[in-house]
Amino acid sequence: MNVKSRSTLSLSSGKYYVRDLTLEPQSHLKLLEISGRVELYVRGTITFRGDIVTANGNFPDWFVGYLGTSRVSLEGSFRGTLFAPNADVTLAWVPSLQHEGAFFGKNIEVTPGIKVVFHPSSFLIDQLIPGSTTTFPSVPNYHSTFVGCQSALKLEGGTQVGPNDFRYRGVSKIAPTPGCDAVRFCRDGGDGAEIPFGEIEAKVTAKPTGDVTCKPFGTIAECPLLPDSVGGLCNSDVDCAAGMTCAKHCTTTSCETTELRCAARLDCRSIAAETLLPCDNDYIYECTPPEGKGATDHAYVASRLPNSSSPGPDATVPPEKQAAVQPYRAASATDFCGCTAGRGFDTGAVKQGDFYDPVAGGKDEESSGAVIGGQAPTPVDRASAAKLKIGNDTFGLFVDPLIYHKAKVKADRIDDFSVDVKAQGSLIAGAKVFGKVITGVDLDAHAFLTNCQIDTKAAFKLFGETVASAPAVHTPDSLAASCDLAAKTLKQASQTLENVMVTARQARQHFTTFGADKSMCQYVMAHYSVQSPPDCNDPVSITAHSRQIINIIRQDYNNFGINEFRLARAKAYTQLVKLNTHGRKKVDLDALSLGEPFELLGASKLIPIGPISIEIAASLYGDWGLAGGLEYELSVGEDGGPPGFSVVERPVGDPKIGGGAYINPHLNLDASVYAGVGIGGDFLGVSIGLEAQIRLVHIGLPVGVDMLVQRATENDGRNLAASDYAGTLIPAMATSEAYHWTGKWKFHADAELGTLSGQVNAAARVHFFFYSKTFRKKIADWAGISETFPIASIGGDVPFDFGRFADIFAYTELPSLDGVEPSAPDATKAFGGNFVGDACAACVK
Amino acid sequence: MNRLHRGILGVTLVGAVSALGVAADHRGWLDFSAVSSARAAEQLQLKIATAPGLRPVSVVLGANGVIDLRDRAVVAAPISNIGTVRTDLGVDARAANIASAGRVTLRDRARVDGTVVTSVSPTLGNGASITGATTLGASFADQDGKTISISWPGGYGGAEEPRAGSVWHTHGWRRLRQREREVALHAQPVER
Repeated sequence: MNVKSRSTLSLSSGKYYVRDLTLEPQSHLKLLEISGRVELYVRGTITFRGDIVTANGNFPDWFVGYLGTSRVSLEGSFRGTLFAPNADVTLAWVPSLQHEGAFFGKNIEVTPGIKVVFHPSSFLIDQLIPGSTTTFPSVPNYHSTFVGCQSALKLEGGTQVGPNDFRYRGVSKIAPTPGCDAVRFCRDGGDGAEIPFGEIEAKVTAKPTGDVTCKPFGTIAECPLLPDSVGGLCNSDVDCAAGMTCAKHCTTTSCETTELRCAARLDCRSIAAETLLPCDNDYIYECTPPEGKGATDHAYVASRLPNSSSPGPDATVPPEKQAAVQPYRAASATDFCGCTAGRGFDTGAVKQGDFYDPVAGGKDEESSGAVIGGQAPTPVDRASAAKLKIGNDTFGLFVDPLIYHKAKVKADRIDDFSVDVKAQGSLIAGAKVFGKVITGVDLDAHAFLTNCQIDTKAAFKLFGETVASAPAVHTPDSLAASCDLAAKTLKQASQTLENVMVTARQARQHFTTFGADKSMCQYVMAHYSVQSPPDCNDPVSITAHSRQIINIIRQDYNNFGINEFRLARAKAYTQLVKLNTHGRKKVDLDALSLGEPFELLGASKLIPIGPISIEIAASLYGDWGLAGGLEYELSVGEDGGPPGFSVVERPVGDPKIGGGAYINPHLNLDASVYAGVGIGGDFLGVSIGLEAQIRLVHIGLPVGVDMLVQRATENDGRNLAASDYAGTLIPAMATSEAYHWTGKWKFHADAELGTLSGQVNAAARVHFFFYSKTFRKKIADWAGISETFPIASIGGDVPFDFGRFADIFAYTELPSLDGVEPSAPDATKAFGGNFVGDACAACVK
Repeated sequence: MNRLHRGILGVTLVGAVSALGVAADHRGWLDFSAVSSARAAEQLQLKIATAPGLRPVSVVLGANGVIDLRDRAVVAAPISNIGTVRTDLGVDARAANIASAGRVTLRDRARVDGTVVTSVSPTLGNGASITGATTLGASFADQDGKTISISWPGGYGGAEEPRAGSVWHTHGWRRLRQREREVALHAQPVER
């Protein structure tokens, strides 16, 4: 393939096989990496004198595999990964003085003055994910599963079809198991094709369609309650028998009243999603109180949604949900003791209002619409619960603006966080005639944002007919999936790194305090591959190898653990950068930009008086309109720019995630009166006179909601030197940073009423057969009466506080044990399950 | 157009400046003509190895022979050279961690901002420095590695090897013919 000067070769995601690749000077290689990486394999020769561009402006995520032996001379600025193990590679002089990526060759020459900038290859990073056939001969049992080990996937119905080849019929999610072995996922049916990890993950984590409240692979707390197990009344879990939960139990199908009763949960964690679908019909669920659905008078609304510039009681994060910087936790008081309390923080869903779906006619599981006995969610009777009503239940008008927002922040470890933000404005308006509800307007605009997903949507129904229902902005599924996968990999890497570090410190402490004994030897042998392994039944052999064993674990942390984590972090942030909105984005929704003038009555009269005529005219007319829009933000960095990072550097910049929506319907009813003098008649004539225009009624119902969650990096104030982690900091690993999460929300729903505004015009009216035209010049105007009645308003610039979070561990280097003599083995202190038994007494649970 | 849609290449004409350099059959469009029949895919491998403790994914330069960083070259990430020949840094060159089975030589004022793991003592010119620890006598026997298996599409080999301008097509190797000037090729992959 020869790309001549000033030509462009575009390559979409996928694999390419070519004999020769030549990019001549001023030629361009454009990578359209929409659905993944470009892989290009070459057997003949490579001549590279062009340049590389990407459609999205990101660093090229491509891989060149060269199978030939001819010299590869990169004489254009190369960006990407070059794999040419049998060829000499020259990174030649280029005007930019820079090549970027990773380069492998038999011999490599970097020409004078050239800078080589490292970008980790996603191709190689992906090999860290389960399914990889990467081998790591130094410690195969451990590192071959470094990241995937924590994937918490359990394969079922396994059959071994080869030395390293297993096939399974099913997969489910289980609690993470330290030290688990790598698995490959192959399709059933005998073709042996390997299933990408992402596909399996997507299948496993896919939520069942339909309104399934229980999450099949979450925690036990998310599983439904067994209806047959509902027992006596309770106030909390302590009132119930072991294994039972004190849960709210809906006493009616609409869940208007609840009571607390003990019940057992179905353990749904290992059940396939599909099989959980029937649970909607078989099980009961916890439900939330019905308050907040609305009320029949303004006072009640005001009490629920106070007009205030500061968050009300519902808009604050309860103290028990707020994060607090914990002191450094000693490694010896961790893990084996089961010390997990206070490990991270999870605000849960801090929310207000109800999510409303005008198209589906009901509410999703996020709302307070409770479910009992497996019945589908009851559509909200917004006509009855409307916040603004005129008339009674037989005849009347109703308007119900509904706002909904939710924020959830969760963080566990270094660089491991997740944010979920939802904001919605919706409005329904109509009338009751003989008690029958006629809904005129039914609309919503909402923005949902998570770490990896932006999803905005608007829907509009007019007299029951769906006028518009379309997403406005939606992250492509492939990008969201790759971002999610990167985030999961990062989470797994940070968890694994922590385990490695804790193990390394505990082993070291055991070595120096209690000596190396059989239990410790057996533990290490079970988790690590040790050359010249010791005989764990021979105390002499254990002693001889103990230091080697401890140093293996130490190296595992100092080198492999840190590197793996950095790579996973780099990959995760690479994906996040692709989603960066660089600040707030506004979207005017065409689907909600509607309006139309109308005329109800119109009459005119010409009164001839000699050669002239007097014209009198009056009309009743108006217009209705609707405007709507959305905002969203998923940005990183103070200036909204991309974070600067590399594999060995910490990402710079704090994230902001936010969104908002507004909708503003209005109706105007006007009247005009004209009196003038002219000549001619109805078919041909002209008159001049005065015209008065009066606005009889203006009704506007603006509804808006806005939400923002952001992180600020602060000093955590803890004394590292006085902790168990005193030592040399490992670069790019957070040690003295606390992350302060705050949020803001703001919403309003107003009723704008106005009347008797108007103006007087000098006017000229022209009649030409069936055509009539009025020309106006304003003489005077007046404001009339107008007032805005707040239906609901809350929030503002005062943030609510999710608290400050900092990792309870610090990542400092562990020195070698060379020269350190172990203590005499203490047979009463076994390593592993009962490790450092005395320290467990101080364990924080 | 249908022919293009069936193929793996689409074409967007953007102007007329220079020739693409392959034979001309149909002015203005690309054409595919078969140059061989489909054959069985060929299984190939690409293997690389890096120094013990250095994963391929964390290496910016990986070699199995000689690494030459000429004068003033800058490489700010780990370098692995499992070849026993040498790793050289020229005058005023900069590098990060180096793992080299062969001798490491730093010319005048060259600097390693990191560690050096090697088998024999490094040679340092005037003003050259290594800021991190130097580990000598390291074994490079227990290498990390990466093997990529490649299923090279059939139809390549022997007398039927594709000529220049050929690309793999779903029905075999196809020769790319066109003589329109300045084009933008939009190639679709064999595998996604």
